[in-house]
Amino acid sequence: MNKNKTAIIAKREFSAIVKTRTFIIITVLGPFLIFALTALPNIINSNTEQIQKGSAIGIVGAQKEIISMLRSVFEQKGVILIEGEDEDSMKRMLLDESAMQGYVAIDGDLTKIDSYSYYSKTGTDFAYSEMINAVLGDWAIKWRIEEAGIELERVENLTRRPSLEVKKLTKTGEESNQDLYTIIITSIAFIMLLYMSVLLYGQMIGRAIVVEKSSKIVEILLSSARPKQIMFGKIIGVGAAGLVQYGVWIISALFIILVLSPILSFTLPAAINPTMLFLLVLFFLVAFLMYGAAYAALGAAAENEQNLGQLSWPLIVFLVIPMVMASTIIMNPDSAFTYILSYFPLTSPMVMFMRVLVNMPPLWEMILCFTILLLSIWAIVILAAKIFRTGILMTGKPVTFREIIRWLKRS
Amino acid sequence: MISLEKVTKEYGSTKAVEDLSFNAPEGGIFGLIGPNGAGKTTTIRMIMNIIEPDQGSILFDGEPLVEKDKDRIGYLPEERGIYKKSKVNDLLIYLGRLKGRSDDFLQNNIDLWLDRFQLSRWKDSKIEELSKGMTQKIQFIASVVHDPDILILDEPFSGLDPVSTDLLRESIARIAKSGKTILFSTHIMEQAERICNQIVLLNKGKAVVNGPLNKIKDEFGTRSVVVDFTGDGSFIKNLPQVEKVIEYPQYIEIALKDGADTDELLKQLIQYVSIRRFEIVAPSLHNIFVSLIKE
Repeated sequence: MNKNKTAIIAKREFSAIVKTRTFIIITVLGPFLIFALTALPNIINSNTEQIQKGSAIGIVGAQKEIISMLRSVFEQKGVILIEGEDEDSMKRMLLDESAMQGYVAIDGDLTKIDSYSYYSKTGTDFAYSEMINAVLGDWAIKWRIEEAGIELERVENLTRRPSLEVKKLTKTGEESNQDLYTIIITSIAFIMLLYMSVLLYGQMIGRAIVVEKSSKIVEILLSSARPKQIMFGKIIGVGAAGLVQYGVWIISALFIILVLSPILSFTLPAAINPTMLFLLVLFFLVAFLMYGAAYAALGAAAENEQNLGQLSWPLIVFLVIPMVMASTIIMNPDSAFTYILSYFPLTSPMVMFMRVLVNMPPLWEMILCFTILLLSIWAIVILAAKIFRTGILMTGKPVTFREIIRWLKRS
Repeated sequence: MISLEKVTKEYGSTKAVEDLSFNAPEGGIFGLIGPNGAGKTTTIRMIMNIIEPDQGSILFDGEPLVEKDKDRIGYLPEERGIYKKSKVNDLLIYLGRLKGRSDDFLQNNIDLWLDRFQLSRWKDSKIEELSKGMTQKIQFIASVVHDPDILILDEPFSGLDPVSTDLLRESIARIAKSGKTILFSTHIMEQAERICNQIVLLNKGKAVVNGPLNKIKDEFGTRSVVVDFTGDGSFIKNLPQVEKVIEYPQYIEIALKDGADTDELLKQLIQYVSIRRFEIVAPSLHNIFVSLIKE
């Protein structure tokens, strides 16, 4: 009978949320977000393709040999090289013509001078300047080596630097090739997702309860069900809606990983794999249960939505700490600070997940983390139920924390 | 059916209800009557087990209320909330499910009640689209949709227009006739007088009087006369038969002293004022209440 009423309340709460436009929009947009996140690091990393076909680069004061060499290199990229009479005419062309990207000004013999200039409208078109730098610099070095009568190949062999590849060794013995940049981006994306969904659904519970309390419908509910049943009904209903949303996202992500990624042959950040997605849901669930119960209690205690906002700032602080510290935590996964945060129950779901993303902690640490979390959830739920019971019928004035603590002492 | 024994509830230092005992028998309409702040809502919330009494006990058929008993009770709180975004039918089904009834049972009952209140065509409308009067009717239906054995109504008539008031009164009478127990609170004595078999009169958390209405009237009532007249009636209160005069806008009510002769009173009145109406009435609950709390 008891469980039944909790289920009825949960079911209503669930269908009320699932039918809202916000829920549908976020659920549908989620997969696009995931797709964007998986593709984003690749897109950002590949910045070589910023040279546009049909654009023009000017050159002034260069030797004939340089010009012909540069022209052949640029033509392969579809860039036109314009030879200028003097700097003034080049300047004018650059400022007047939109097709002109920039111009190179060489004052003197390139093999002898210390520096030469590249002028452009933006000053930040690195794709062009780096190409020019590489081509002309290499040419000057080659020229000097040949001039000195040394075999070019020899020099190249002697000065070749062995390349360093950064690899991550995992417990299963697999090597995965990922750079820090990708780890940070995907981790932050995951943490954002976790943070936003916990905040969204937590506040949803708090607000729903405040509204029911201030609209007085709660008294009708209390004539049918216990306060505990109402509270758990809400938490379970809202949580189920959250899980459905995660379900849709995860299925989309798996579709991208297992179907789209092989077909379109793009590499996914290593962090996005079925294990991580499973852990994401698990961490969402524990974080949600904890914050959901806390929000339910505050919702019952609060007089109105403003009051709820005032009361819930400590929750927001603990939710935000891992977000703000994300890059520090990811770059120092073994620091004492990270360890403490990854066990402290209000931050551990997010911080432990960050550690998991960077470097899977040993199993015993995970077990310890979840044990602390489950015990804390149990404690918070008991406290929340007490606050809920007292708060739900209290009306008249905004509530303070001191008052809530007094309720807890009394009961 | 519902009996309270020496129930006390304090909020801080104020006693909302003090040492309250009464028994609402099965199959009657029991009125919990008293001015605002007398402790009616607190008493009802304790009966509903929403708040717990500090002392005393509340028994249903001789047993303390257990959670399951709530399913047998229909409850209309004084401050009525509703899910404005919900559809009428969905809301009624939901609240009925919470009372442990099956959907089929509920749907039959919902259709019946919506029809009675001529709200059938609003069945699939959202509550926010309804007028205030219609919403109040829905709120009442919500309290009876599971066909409860006991119906508890806290100020059910407050804010209702006259037509809805009549409709509600008829419904309450119909439910009472079918053998259900109704407990309702009001601060309007006239309403209680018209509806209740039994009452408890509350003032400042204490029972002033308690029992069957006609018995209370016999016991405490001094007879009174309603007079509608034109002219200067200021002399009336000094007449020997008169205990007290209560002035209403359209008429006055004269409480008579014991053994007062009404014929004699009429003769005296006729000498000074022109009489339109002279009616000997049973004492009103209002008078009983006022005279009792003065003692």
